[in-house]
Amino acid sequence: MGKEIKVCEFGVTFHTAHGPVSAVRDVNTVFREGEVTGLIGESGSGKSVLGMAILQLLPANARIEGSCLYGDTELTALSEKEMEQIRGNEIALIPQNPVESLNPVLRIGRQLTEAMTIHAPGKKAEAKQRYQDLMSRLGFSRPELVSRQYSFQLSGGMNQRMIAVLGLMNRPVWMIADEPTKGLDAILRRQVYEVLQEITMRDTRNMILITHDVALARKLSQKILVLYQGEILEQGTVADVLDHPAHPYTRGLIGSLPKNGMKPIGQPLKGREDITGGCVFYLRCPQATKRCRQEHPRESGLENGRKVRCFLYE
Amino acid sequence: MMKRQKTENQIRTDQDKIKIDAGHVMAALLLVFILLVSLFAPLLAPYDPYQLDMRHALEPPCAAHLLGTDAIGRDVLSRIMYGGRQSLLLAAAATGLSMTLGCIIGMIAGYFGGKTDLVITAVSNVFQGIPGMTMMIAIAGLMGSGVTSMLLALVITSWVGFSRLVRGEVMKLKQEYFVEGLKGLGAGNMRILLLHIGPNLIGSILIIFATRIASAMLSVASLSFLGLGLQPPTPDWGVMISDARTHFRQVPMLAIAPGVMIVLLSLSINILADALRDRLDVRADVVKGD
Repeated sequence: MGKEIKVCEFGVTFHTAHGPVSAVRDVNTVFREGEVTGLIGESGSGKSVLGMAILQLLPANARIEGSCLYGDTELTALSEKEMEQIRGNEIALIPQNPVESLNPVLRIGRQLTEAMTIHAPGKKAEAKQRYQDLMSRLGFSRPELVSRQYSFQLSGGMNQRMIAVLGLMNRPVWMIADEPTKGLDAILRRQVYEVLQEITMRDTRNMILITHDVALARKLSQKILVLYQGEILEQGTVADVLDHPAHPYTRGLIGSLPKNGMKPIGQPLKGREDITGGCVFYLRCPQATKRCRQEHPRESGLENGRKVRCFLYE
Repeated sequence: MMKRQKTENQIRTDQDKIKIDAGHVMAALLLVFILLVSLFAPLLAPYDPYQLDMRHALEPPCAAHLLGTDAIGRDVLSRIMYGGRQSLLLAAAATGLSMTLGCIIGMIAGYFGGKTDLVITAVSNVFQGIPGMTMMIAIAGLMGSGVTSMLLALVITSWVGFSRLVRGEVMKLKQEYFVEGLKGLGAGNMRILLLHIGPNLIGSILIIFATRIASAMLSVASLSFLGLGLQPPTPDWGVMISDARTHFRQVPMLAIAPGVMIVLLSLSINILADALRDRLDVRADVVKGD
């Protein structure tokens, strides 16, 4: 039934007043069916841009390069109207910022059922039924009461679950969860984790999880992509990447987790001037060589389908 | 004092934070009274507003004619009752039309931005630069006086107020995350604009609608006074003041009565518009504060 998402030589450039800014470069990967793929990286690494670029939800000044195949469909070649058919129906988004992602002047029930009636205008009754089902599944004991309320009358946790319902309304094949735990406290983070786990168990296993929360990515995903400054530095299975990190950046990232002693990755090292053309991690890399400064590393394949963008593994 | 205390307690306990101000209630009652009298003028008026009676011309207020009669013996009270009908209707229609036009243009400019916005903004700057009354006089002069030209003049001079506000609001709203969320669900531009951004605009549109309708009333009265709007013998407050010019030294009521009506009507609308703005601002603060 499902289709995989295959991304080739994919890139996103923003054309700003100060010249082009490349946010994502040279991404080659396959989001396989039946798998949760975690996109991890620090803020500004381009992980959200990559996710949004698959849905082509980028500001007007963004240009997408390369190809993004959804099954046999080349998404980058579709018109805006055709993309609207994909969004929500085939690939749905759980946006960041749950409270702001709901319209403050419309009642919850209307907004959530609309997610379905956008694509099937006649199915109002069915949408209401689906709303009831999903809301009770995600822990709302009286969905009909919530349906008359507005988003700002409900708590952050409730809003978080509601936008999950929003994404699920159309039974999408793929789900993109954008920073689902951003700015949440520990209790809400656990709730989000439970919601996402529920989705992967009962609705769709095809998910792209964009997060800076390595613990969440470890719990939910089977595959991990590590992004840094717009490039995938390492990709592979969760066990490979998170337990035996290969790239110096991934090693630093894992080492910086609280349970591993919170060792910071470190500022740009002294004596290394800003470079263009070399490895993006050169400035901060403890194992960098002269070659890293001049030459841009390619992805080297390792065992188990793992790929690392580092000269150490050539 | 007691009363004030009570209202303050109500504010604290009342979920909706409705603050009832005596002045606002008065204004509302006055407005409703004027509207009802205008609406039911045919039933309430003691005389036909067009009926001449030269034997009783220029009579001061008396039992038969509570506000006296004008230069050709028409009953002033009856004419006052009828006098708001046309101008109110005209002001409402003109404001409604400018609102519709302004909203459509403002939404397009704000949502699509870019060159479309540039062109629309340039055009609206031109329209905003034109002094309202001068424009209205020019249009009435070109097209001849009458209802159509007045309607046109009012719309041309007031749509910019709506489109500017709507454009700004839409520009702000389209950055909201819920718009991105909607796009993620596959919603098209029209759906987002009309069903989701639109409802967010109602508050601010209502506020200017209310203020604009008051100023449109005044414009209609001014144009009619100048002889460019409603024409005699139509019973209209502006026309009545204009007619009264030659006789108001003898019978001041001829000018005072319609003048007071114009003042009361626009005052009550303005007070209510202010109340509406305060009320909607409060709501906005509560939402943002949470």
